[in-house]
Amino acid sequence: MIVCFIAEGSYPYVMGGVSSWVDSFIKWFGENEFKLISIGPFEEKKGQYAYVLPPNVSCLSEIFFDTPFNKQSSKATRQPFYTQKFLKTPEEKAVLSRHFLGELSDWIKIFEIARRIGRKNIRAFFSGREFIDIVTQIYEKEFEHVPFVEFIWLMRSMFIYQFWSLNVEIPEADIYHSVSAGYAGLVGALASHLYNKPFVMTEHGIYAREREEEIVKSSYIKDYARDLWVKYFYNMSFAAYRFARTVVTLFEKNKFFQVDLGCPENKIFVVPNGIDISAFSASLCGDARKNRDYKGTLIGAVIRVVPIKDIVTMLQGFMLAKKNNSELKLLLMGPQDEDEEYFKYCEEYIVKNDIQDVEFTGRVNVKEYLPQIDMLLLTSISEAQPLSLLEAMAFQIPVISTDVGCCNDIVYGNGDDFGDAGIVTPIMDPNALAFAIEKLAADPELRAQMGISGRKRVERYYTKDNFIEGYKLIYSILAGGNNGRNWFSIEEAHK
Amino acid sequence: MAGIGFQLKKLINKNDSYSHKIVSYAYAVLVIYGPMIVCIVCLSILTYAMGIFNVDIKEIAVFSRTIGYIFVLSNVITGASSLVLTRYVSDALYFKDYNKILPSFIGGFIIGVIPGTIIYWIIMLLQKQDLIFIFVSGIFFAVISTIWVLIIYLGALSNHTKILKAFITGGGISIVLMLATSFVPQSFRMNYIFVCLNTGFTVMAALLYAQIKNYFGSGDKSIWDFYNYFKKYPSLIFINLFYILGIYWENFYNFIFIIDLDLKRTYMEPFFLGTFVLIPGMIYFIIKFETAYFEKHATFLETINQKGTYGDITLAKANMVKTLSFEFGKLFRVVLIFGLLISLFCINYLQDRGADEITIWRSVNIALGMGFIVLMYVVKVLFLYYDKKGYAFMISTMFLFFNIGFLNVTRTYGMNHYGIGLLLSGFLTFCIGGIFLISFIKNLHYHLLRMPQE
Repeated sequence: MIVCFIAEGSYPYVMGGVSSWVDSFIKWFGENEFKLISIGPFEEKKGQYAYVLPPNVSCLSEIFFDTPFNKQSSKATRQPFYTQKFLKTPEEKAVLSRHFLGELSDWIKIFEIARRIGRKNIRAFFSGREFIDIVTQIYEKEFEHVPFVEFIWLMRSMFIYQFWSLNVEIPEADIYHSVSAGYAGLVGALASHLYNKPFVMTEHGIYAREREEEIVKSSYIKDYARDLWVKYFYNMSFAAYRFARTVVTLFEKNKFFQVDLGCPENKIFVVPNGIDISAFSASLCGDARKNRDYKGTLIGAVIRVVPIKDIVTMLQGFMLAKKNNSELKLLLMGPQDEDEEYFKYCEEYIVKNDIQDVEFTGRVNVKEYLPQIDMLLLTSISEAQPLSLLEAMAFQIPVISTDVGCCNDIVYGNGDDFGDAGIVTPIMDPNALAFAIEKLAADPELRAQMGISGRKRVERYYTKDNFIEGYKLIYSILAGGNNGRNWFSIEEAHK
Repeated sequence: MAGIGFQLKKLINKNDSYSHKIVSYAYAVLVIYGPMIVCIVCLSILTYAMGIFNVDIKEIAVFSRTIGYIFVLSNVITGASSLVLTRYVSDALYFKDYNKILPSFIGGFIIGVIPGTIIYWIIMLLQKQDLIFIFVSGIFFAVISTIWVLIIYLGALSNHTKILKAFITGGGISIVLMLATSFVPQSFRMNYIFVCLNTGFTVMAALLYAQIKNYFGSGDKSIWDFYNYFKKYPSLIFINLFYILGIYWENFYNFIFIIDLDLKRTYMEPFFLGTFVLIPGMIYFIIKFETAYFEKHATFLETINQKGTYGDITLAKANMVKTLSFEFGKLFRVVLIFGLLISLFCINYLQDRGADEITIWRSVNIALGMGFIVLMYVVKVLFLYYDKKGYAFMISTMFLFFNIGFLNVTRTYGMNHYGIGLLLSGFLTFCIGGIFLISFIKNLHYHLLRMPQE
């Protein structure tokens, strides 16, 4: 079977939970051939992969958001007369008008228009008379008091990204599988429509809600534009839900959000994340802790140094705990180069507050470091089903996590009787975090008990075998049992 | 050029009396057309003086024709680089990078004056002229070419009185030196007159150069910095070159390819009489048209850049278009009136001088043609305002090819001496360019809202 994964802002470029999920998936389904579509922000990063592509990945099709705006693109796609027409009928103009306003879109028409424009003419269309006239009409109806040129550019930047991603080269496959909604989900919907192939979407977080949260909090998005942006992302999610034959989520709570966003409930499957439990032997921990250099309580965190992981709250909590217990050390494991400004901020915070015994290790082999630590911290302000918690729990390490995503279920269980695998704290609450750290640091027996509970929970619900079984079932239903080799020719579809 | 227009406009509007206005306009003419007027005055005095000094009439004719062709060829050769240089200087002034100014003049001098002078000498050698005459007239060619390059910088200087003094001083020196012609042997008088011109105009060029250096300093940028603009804006070379070649095509063609000694069929005199229509047209454009339009255009752009609503932008554009139509109407009337007046003058003047009917018709057609050339030039400049070099290039190219085409066609019918080619070329190019301009202005917001092209 050939599966085409569609990833946005993640695999194979960015280290993180979703990327690791994709990487593991490809390796665990080694008998399948995988093709990749990667949607990324910057073309200059092309080829700078954070992962080594497994051997069963046969091709990688990429598209970058900044390409329509860069110099080469500008030179290569000289704009013809602004009078060049891309829309065939007044109905198409009306469809685009509704689409730009964020009303429920006729996505089949949108796909057709976007593919007709193609990559070569994308700048011409978004500079052309048709686009400006449509946007002007929208402006005069509802936005006549906002700066006009700003409004044009808002619409242009929103939809050029969307239309650009709809012009990615889509390789032939039996199943299309996106790992988020958003642009990846949209491309999956397009692939499904174009080639009449099944499309499955796995949503780790709820893409539209996450974007909405960012938009609401953002200081640089103008008030009149917030609603447009929210509708824009909701609309894309709706397209993915509509065209997907199956929508997979990691935990039950997300299912309700998806239904709320318009996904038919009967499409939704819950397949939790899984880890290869055999690679996480608790017996390693004892020796690792005995043989490590640090003799106090070693606290670990597997993170990317980015704002969403809220490293600052982690440092604050650690600092407060250290006031009452000096035998604490914090090990921050993970890449630091994703947001260099934030990393610098964290470093300065440590120096300014004179926080001792904090170490940034950079990228490491987590399986070598985890056995050494006594507890794991997670202070993210947004998560789905973090692999870092599952891996720590597999090593029988107690965890302290913020109450985001399904972390509460992971740590305390969802009605099972395995006991607490750690402590859940509110987000951005350094005092609660400090209290939890101190509690666990002072009680090795509690830590051991929590570690056992965690291991049992992972063995029961979050194993690789459960995960593989879940997706094998989904794929076999979608593929119809014959590998689904009834596709149309990709060349014909691209004409 | 809008800068000099605003300054002159302020001067003219200082006082409402007619006498003040007449004097101010005369001053404006001198500031903008100084070199040309000084040359014409000097040459007129010279030509008259040569009659007094009993210079052979054939020699006077050769002298007049040579001066004429020096004007034409120097304009054409320096014209190829002048628009690029103008753009470079404008950008330097905008960013207050005054270190670039004087080095760019050196660059412009090297690229325009030196090769042009060599080309002139070669052409004159091929025409088997006297060696000393070739040399001294070549020096005049170099000096006048240098002045064409210097003129690009004069618009940025604020002390126009000093500029005027430089013109008058140079011209005055030439005239004073010429008074000694009677003491020069007959066989050397022609060459001596060129020496007088060379001396006076060299002083003029030196004074202008000193003013520019005083104002902007020596500069420390490489002269090659200016040459990068040729790579960046290659179309500007041809926009100006084709325009100038178009105006002077017949004269240029004659100078290079035909040795014409027919004294009755003098091309230059009626041509230069006709070009007087350019002066009132260009004065009106620089002082009235461009300043009025520039203000509305600036308001329009400001409305866009300062986050105006669609309503604000539409209103600003409507005001701009209204001003454009109004000013074009007035400009048309100016060139029409002066075209007719100068045509009448030419008829009377040339008849008194015993010119034949063809020469008279030639001057009339050229006078009227120059009116359309002013209008066509304004259309071209307006496109360049919006950085639409493609349209400006199209206008210049069309104008040149119309001139070439009409010259060939009229030659077939023996009508090429009447100046009809220039009239028709100017008229047609203005009409076609005007249609494009109307369409462009109507759809201006589409052009301005496009994604920027690198």
